[in-house]
Amino acid sequence: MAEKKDVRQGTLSLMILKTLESMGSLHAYGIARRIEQISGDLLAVQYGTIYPALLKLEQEGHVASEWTSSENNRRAKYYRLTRAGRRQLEKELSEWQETTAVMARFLSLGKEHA
Amino acid sequence: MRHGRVFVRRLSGLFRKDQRDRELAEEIESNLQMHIDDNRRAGMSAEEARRQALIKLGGVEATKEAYRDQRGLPLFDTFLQDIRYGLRGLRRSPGFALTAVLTLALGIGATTAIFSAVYALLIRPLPYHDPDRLVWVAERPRSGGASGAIAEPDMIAWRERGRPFEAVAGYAFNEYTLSGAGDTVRIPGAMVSGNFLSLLGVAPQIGRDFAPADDRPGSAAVALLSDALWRERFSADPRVAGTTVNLDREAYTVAGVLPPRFRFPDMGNAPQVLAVLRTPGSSAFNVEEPLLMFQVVARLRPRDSLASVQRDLQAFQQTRLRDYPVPLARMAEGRKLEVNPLQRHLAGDSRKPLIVLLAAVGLVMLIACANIANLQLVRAVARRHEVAVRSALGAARTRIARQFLTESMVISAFAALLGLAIGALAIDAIREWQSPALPWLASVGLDPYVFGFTMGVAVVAAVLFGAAPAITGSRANVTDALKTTPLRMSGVRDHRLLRDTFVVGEVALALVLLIAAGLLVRSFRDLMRTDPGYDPHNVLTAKLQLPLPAGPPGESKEYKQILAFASEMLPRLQALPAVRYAALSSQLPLQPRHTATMVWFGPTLPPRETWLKLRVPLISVTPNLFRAMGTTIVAGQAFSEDDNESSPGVAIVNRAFARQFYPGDALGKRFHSMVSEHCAGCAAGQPAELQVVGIAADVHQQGLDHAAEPEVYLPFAQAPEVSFNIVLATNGNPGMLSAPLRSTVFALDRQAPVYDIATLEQRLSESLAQRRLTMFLLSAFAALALLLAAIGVYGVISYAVVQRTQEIGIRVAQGATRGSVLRLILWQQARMILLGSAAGLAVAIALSGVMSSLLYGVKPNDFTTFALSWIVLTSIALLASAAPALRATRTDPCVTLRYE
Repeated sequence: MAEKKDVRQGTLSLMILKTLESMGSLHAYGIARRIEQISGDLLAVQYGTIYPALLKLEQEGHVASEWTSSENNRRAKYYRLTRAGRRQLEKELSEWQETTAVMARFLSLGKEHA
Repeated sequence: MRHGRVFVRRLSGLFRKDQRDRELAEEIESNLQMHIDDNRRAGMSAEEARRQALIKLGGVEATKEAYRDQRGLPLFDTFLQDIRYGLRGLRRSPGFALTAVLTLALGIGATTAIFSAVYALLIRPLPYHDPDRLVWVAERPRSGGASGAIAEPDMIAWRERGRPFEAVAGYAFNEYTLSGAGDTVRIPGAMVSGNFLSLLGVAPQIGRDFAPADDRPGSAAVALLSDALWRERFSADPRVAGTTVNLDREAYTVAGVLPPRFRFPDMGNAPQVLAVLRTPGSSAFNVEEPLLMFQVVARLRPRDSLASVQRDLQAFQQTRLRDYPVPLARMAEGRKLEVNPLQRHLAGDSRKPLIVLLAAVGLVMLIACANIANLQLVRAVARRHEVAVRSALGAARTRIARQFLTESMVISAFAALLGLAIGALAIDAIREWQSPALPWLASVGLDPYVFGFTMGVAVVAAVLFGAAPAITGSRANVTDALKTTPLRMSGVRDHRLLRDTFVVGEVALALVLLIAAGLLVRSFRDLMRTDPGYDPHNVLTAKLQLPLPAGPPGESKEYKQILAFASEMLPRLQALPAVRYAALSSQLPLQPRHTATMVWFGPTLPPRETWLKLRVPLISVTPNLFRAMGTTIVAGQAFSEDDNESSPGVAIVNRAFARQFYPGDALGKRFHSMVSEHCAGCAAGQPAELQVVGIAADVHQQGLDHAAEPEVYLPFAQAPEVSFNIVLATNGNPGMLSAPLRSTVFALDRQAPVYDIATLEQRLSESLAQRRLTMFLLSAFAALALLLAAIGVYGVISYAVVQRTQEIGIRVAQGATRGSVLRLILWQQARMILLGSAAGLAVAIALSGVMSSLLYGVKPNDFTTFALSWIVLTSIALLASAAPALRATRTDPCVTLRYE
């Protein structure tokens, strides 16, 4: 099994936003689980780190939370994307893509010359 | 924006912590259960499922901690903790807390009050458009003296040139008799150039502003009413614009009404009506026309500096000198043009005293801070043990230093609140002082700026007096401190130098203030002892304006009317109950100069360049005036009823006149006066020849602090005036006579307004209002400084005595007498007090120049004041140190030695 990578600083909130966009309303455990699954279990998410990150997003107004019953009748706190969160996601996505594009071009420079 | 919202949410996260903690625990728990359920479903045993889920979650407590940090503001949390700790500490030593808070509150209160005054007078923007570009232009004559008005041609020339000013406006004060519907009244007014209001950026609330067309000679007379006059006299009639009012029996069209908050740009003058100037408006001098002089305000062009404007103007005036007519050119030589910010001009004479007071209050504040720093240091030593224990337990130095600072902040916060209350009371007290001479006092208030300033002072003070203990306190050597017992007395010489420095500084500053206050008190006492040349007690005065054309009464018809009125009125006034003397005078002490003439002594006119020196004020008086005013005739005699139009011209001169013009004996000598009179041998339009029949004592006409100038008194019957003062010397309360006085004149002529009724004592007292207020405040600050310094000295020596208890015990045990112990302690203290007062004397001498303009009769380095202040300060400081020193001598060696 390949060594699992820790989540890079700052990318966790982007992952959370993206997860909530595709899944709609979800609780913290579900979000963490989903991130692990999507990454093909390449990323190790300490489930504990998800709570401060969610709180930060909530303070910034990007997500909203609500206590409701889960699928098997357990009370849980559900998070969903707000409109500001959707805008933030778009912004961060495009920034991310730009960054990766630049990085990719930069990193491939050496190869062309080689 | 977003940062703000996050901050607010985090701030709110500081509250209801328990509930939020519970909510998080619940959320983690519910998610954990879901995880366990999933694990169970994947086939794990119950125990394994829980274990795996917990591993995946990571440390629960670490999570909660991270969550809390994200939720609240961690720095703020410790800050609150510090505050709680500080409060607890202060509650443990209430004596320290009370002294510190009170000391600082007094300092902050005094500072707040004075800053409020400074703000109201010197800082608050003037109520005009872009007030920073408004300036006041005046000419200062070569001979020195007060800066004065500008000649109209000069003002016009600057306006036409368009440089260095964007706009130039002029005005002159005037009084008008307002007649028509209602009582005939005399009101203060001003003539202003047409652009006056637009230059200030003020628009009338009703009607229109003056237009340039109104300014031309021959155009219709228009006036603007003040809001007060409009409400009082015209019942706030909104259709007043366009109607006609009678001013000095001329019809003026009301152009409009000034806004309610309009303030005329001059100290102490509040014109009720503005009339537009209608002058030829030429930049060339015309010797045929009387020369008009104006007060001038101007607007600078954006980004022009005051200095460059002044240079430019001065250079331009130099080129204009060629165009001046000969006598004016000579007078104008060496004149200096002054361009000052309008705000400074409006502050007038109050500026300097206020700045001195602000400095004084700053010193008081410094003393207060030094006091508290000292107390803090003493406490820091007492708390060495506590600090050592805390740092041994792992508290960082910065954390301990921060705690000391926070404690200072807590004291400052309490002191700021209390100080604000004290300041508000002091501001009320200052406003109570209200005097017509200091109109701006009414505008002193506690605004947000002042509040902000107070808070700033409190914070700075906290840092100032918290810094020393924060630095030295946190540096405590843990092992050393822990080895000593908490009740320590011997061997602790920490901060000694710092504390001594504070005491020396306090003593020095207090002495400086004491000397300054002493100088002012002495000046004031000297001033009060000055013989004004008249007796102000029980004298009522009022102005009267006869309904006749203004100016010297040339035609004999008017002259007869005035004298007829006077001879009708005076006996009636004399007959009023309690009136000892009734008299008339064209000029009263403490009023602006009214009329002047030029005098000469030979048969021919003297050369022109001496004319300026021969200008002498004229005062027309009825025979009883000298008796009514209590002015002594030192030689010769007073006027009599026989000095009239059919007798030869006579004059009474004052001693200053006699001294200046007749070194020998002036009595019986003759001189010429440029102003024509009504006497035997006098002719209209011709200079009069007058004989000196009496010499009067000098009267300080322009205020007690102004030396008497040469003056000439003339018999009212030979030199009558349409406006004059009534003087009633009474046997009792002169205020009772104002109503009878009014009705007596009213019965004679309804069109002759009596106004400006005041006793001579009131006028004299108002002329001293500024000095009295400055003296009072500075003395209060000096007393405060003295008190604070005494507290400081007392605190330090008390502490020193406690520190040395053991040493004293040993000395006593070895046979030292009480006297020698007392000497030991006192000498240590006396050295500091002597050092401090020496520094204080040096500072006071260095600063003496600052005070000189506020003094009268005493030199700024007056020996008596310095010596007295020094004695007072030293005795009080020694007294403050005597009590703890005496306590030290009573130590029982058995008790003190047992401490070890």
